[in-house]
Amino acid sequence: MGNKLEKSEEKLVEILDKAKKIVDEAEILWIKVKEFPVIFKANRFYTAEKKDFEGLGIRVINKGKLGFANTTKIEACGAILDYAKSATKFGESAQFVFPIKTTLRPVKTFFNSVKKITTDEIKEHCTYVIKEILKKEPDAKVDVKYKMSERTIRITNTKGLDINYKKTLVSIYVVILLIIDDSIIWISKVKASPKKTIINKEDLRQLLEKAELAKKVVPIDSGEMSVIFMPSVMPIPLSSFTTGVNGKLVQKGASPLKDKKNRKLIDRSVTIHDDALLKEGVATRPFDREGIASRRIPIFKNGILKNFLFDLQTAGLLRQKSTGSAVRDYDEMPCPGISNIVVSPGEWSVADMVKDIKNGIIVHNVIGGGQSNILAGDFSCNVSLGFRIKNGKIIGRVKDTMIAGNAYDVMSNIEGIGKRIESIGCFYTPAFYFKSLNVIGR
Amino acid sequence: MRERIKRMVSKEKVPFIEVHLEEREGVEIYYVGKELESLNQFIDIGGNVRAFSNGIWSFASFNSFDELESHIHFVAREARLGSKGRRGRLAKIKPYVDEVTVKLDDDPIKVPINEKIKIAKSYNSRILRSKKIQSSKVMYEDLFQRRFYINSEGADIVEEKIYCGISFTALAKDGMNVQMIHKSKGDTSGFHIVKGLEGEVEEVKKDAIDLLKAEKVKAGVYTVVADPLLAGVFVHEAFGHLSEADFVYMNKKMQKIMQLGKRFGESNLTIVDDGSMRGERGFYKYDDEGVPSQKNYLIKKGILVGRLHSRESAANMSEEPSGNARSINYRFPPIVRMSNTYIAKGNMTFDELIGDIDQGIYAVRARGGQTELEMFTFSSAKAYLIKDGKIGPMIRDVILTGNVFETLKNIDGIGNDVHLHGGLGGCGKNSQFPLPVSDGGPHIRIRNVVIGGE
Repeated sequence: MGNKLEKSEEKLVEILDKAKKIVDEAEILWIKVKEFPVIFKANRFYTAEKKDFEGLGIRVINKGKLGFANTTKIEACGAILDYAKSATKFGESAQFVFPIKTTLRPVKTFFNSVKKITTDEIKEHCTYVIKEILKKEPDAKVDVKYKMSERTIRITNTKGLDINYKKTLVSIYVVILLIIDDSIIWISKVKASPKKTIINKEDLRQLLEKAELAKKVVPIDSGEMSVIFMPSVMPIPLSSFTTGVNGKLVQKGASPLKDKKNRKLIDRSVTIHDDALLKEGVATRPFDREGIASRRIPIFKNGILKNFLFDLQTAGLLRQKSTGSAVRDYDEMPCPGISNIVVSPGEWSVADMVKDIKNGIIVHNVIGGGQSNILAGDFSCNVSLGFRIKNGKIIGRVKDTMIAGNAYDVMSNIEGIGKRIESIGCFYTPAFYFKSLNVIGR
Repeated sequence: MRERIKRMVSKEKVPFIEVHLEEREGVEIYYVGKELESLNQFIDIGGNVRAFSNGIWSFASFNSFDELESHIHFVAREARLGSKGRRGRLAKIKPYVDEVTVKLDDDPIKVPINEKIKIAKSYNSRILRSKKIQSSKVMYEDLFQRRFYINSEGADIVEEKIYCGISFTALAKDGMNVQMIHKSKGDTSGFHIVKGLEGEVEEVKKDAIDLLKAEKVKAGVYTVVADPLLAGVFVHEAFGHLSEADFVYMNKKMQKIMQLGKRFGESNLTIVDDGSMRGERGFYKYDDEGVPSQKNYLIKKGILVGRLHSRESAANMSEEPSGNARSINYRFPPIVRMSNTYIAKGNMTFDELIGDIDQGIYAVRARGGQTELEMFTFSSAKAYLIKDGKIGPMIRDVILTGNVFETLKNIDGIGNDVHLHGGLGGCGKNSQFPLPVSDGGPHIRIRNVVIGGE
């Protein structure tokens, strides 16, 4: 792709040449990352950082078996290649061959606007955000973390593949800390995008609205009730599905979805894609971490399970094809994983969901997701920011409250799906309105 | 190299500057199901420089040492620029010059790779030796780490550490019912920690199978008896993080909540963080600011008596540095962290703790834990009902949640059996994960714990 080679990249060619002589096949994944975090703590500028890393992983096949090793010490590549070769004595048999050159769909992952952002500009923006918050909440302590990053991913193998792409990413994390009557309230907003991103007026309005609502704590009784999951909470049930369709867990027989392909498992209104080609998605990429071209994969279509996600090895073991879903850092062997998870929107506004509820809660943040039995779909979380709804109106914040349920059950019992998609990390999802969920209060 | 760095540092006009360089080497062996999924040997090298001026930090981290001088230049300049009109200082400490090498009788780094594989494989096969077990995971990891620390005050420290550990997971499955049990062992004491664990492996396997038949816990408010490992996760997650002074010192209201001398628990409650416990996973001689580790009492007889500090937080609160500024590796700046955190021994036997509970839960080990300041939640790996003072049937999906301050006051029974646990993995904070720590305590009894469930 005609990019100027870095000093260490020239080394890659050399290592691959050396590898050809001592093992049957080899592949190098090289990743270089530059990050620029700027951090404001307790309303004031605190630190500016600069990070500059690179590392490579060498995967080899020798006598049909796999080996791997990695390093950040580019001069130590000789030793690393020997490690990788020696590992093949114990390794799993390779059920695939390294890919040859493929046609890639063009997808934009690098935005010049990000490269142009200056530290001063970030400082100015963070100062503005804090000032706006303090106007309304003078006692608040606000932390802001603004991070720009730029990475280069290159994969080359002894089959002649040598492809790379550059990717930019901006993330902003704002957290407002309020202490009222010895009670700590924490309200946060996370935004991430491959493009230049800022905290806009609407973000500020939402943050401040939540802060205002959070000041009044109202009691809540335990029981089944209507619950709205804001997009920020949706990764909790969704990660049960993304774990369930992971080809590795399917291959190991651990996934409960193993024999459920083409069966209706959740409500017909739910359609979910794994879309590595999503325009301006945080996980968008032209190819996966084995060099397989990206595509848009339906996971659930109208509630029916459509696909599992595979990398080369798990696909090979199950006599399937890779779905281009290999994920890993330079220091890991590949395994199947998600890219951008996109949930199709519905027709409801969140305001209409609230209006529709006689007795229930709206959940903005939880802690303790991921501690339950994710594979089985179970979740049980503490509502760290949630509000009680009574007769169609939000009446105050709930405390010491848990929500518990099962992803397959709740997603089969949907009252409404939001019309606006928000990005929560790599999950692009609307809000969901569930008719009945177990809420445990004290 | 070190002399060259000292010269570079001395040239910069900034009140404080420090350099960390690090070499790491290790092995990861992962069995998943029948296969050796990953045998990963690595060599990792990198460093960072950090400058401080009037309360402002600047930090740069890197793999290549080629541009060290320009990194030093960058941080000095950024810190200077940002600090105009600001105030702030670092607590004074003695600049130590020391070389800490590790000598272990059974150094895991010297053990041949095939022996490590053999051990992991034997545990893995043992887990799989049952028809009810669907899959397994056994992870062996060791790491040799050598850190160089130099600062503009004259500190010059080299410290080596060797970590070694193993974890095993058994996954039992019956239709859509999938149950998993996990256990790990790991510290800085040597290779012996991963040997002779057949009994524990059998236990993990049996527990996973038993969990398939266990009933889900009924949601409600219970009296909970936590085993030493879960007590450890509780003290770490629920209280330990609040003791970290880095978010306290900038916030007056938080300082009021965490005021020394305030009562936090019953007079039987004492909580300690101690980085100087040799052999534990959270052991170190110097923290990453060159401050020696020490035993720090956080709560003594129910009263808040101390907290964990970096040099910066200590100076801001006019307290002493506690030796708790740590980073997971060269990629990150040191921040205030725990080391080996535990609840001190009490005087009750296990039978006394459960004896007067009519209806409660005995919760064993943790699957995970998370806090958001005063709120915490953690899940037990396995649990049993306590009925009329006796341990009853196994139950599953026990997730405990609550408010730290209330929960600490609700600890009304403390056992006489302290046990610390390191394992693999560690603690996460500000995207720095996993930091090697140990936590533990005796069995403890907590009243009025909210448990989620059906």
